[in-house]
Amino acid sequence: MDPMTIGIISLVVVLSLILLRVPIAVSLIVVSFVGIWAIVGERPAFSMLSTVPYNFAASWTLSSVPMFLFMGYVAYHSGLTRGMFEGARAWLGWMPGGLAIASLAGAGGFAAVTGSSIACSAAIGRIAVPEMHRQGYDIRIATGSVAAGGTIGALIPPSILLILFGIQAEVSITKLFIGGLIVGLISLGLYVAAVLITYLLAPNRLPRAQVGSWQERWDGLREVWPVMVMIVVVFGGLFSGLFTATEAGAVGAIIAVVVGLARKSLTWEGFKESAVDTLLSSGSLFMIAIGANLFTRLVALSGLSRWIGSGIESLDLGVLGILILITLIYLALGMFLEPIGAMLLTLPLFLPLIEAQGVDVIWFGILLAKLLEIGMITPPVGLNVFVIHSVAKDFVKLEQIFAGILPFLAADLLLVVGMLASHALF
Amino acid sequence: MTLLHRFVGTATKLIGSVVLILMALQIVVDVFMRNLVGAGFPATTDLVSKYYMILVSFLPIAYAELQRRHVEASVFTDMLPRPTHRWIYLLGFALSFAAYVLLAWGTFREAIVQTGRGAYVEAGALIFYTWPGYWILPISFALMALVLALRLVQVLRDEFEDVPAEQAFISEPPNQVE
Repeated sequence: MDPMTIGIISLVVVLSLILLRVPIAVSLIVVSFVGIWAIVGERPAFSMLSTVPYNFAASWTLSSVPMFLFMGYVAYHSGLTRGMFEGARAWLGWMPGGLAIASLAGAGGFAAVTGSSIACSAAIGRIAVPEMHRQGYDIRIATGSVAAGGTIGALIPPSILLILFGIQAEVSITKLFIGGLIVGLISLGLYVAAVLITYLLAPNRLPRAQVGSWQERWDGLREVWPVMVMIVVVFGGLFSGLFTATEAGAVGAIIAVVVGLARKSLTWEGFKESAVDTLLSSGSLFMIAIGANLFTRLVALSGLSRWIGSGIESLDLGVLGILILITLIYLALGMFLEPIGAMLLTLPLFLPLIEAQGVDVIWFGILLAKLLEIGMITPPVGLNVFVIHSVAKDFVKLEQIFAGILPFLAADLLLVVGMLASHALF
Repeated sequence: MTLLHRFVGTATKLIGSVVLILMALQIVVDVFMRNLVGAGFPATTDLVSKYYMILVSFLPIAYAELQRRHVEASVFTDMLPRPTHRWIYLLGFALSFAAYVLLAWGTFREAIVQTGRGAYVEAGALIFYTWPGYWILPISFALMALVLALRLVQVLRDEFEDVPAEQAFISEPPNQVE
């Protein structure tokens, strides 16, 4: 068999195994091993399998992942989120749809200490959804806003998705973070607009909450400062070049622990849970990344990415056409797969094409993050929606949350169209 | 299974938490020393990448399986009739078992090679041995293979019960301060 055929068969087998619920990491590792063996023989295949795991994990850059995860989980387990929501409510509660907007702002703030979309919606959802339910909010908007708000967690730095993209694509993580910050803030603005438009169309779905007194506002600020300190130190240090991403993560983790202890909100249990969540997430993520690393070698050896590249190029779509095609592919993938797995699986196939077309890789990474995060709120597999459902299942059905997503999905699609248009124009 | 679960759980939590906190502390101390004293904490980069990272990456794998935290796409298989689920799990665990046995064997041979060579890196004037770190991989992978072997037995005996998808990503609710 020629290498190309082996490559194509491997891709089909990987996708089939993933659909058959074989863990993504295992699907990638097994198929890459067999495929590499079939192309270049047993010894190189075995030697890659033996050396790639160590060489991949023994990395200074990669160590920013557990550090940022740790920071996020400590913040989550020490209840810093409640402060974010309370603070935002005191200041923004007077607006039409104020509680939904406060949830979004809270999610945006919490996004700056966590790199995960799920943690972000779980944390805000647990507090904000019952509160909105009590105030008579339409439950669809109440849950939809929080599920959507969570996706900002993977855009606003730190973002685990963007760090892994940066490592795989070999581009600057700091630049990715700046891009993620911009697109994350624009997303936040558009989500707020979606709430306001919903209010204009049906004011009774979002009853006005009582106006917070100035006393409440100052108290709210006191709740928000720990997160503000973390954001300023961590990202001030990172963007000014004082620390690397890894160092920023470590500083953030230590500040989170200190703040949690100072506010007496981080218990010993909470600390242990944070460590365990960090370890379990790191372990499962890194195995997928190692699988993807092996798969990248198989794709290169078989010439599969050239084949896909020339196949797409022969359609003569132009750069914008190719980007639209890739956008559609990722929107479809995002509906079924978890974002990081989907990204690591597909980057070896599409990245060479993107680079050959002269598309800016940083920009592409941000687009990718946005597209995959849309998958977190779309059916049938919308992980953020599942998480919100699990915290509020007493008074909301899964279908209602998916219905509540619609205004935010419209906002997201508008942003994606805007990104593609701006790429075509500039 | 419960005994193994408890052992793997305790070992992972204990070693993992200590390593995480050490890693964060040492990096922070290194940053401060570099900016204030002009020289960082000795061998921080090597210690972080060659030991802490290896522990953080591979040690939790077996515990992650025990907690069902490895990422799988269950959207299509959930639509299949109930009796097929057993076969789906069997396929997943059997392939995983094969993969981790291979990984354990491959990294074991690599560890022997690196140990024989006495692998080290030079960190300034220091000789920093890296070979012991290579042993973390075969141990972690073998532990994972053992857990998977027990999973296979569980499925064959019809004793395996999975956790719901939404619990597979984040642990218990945070302790909220009222």
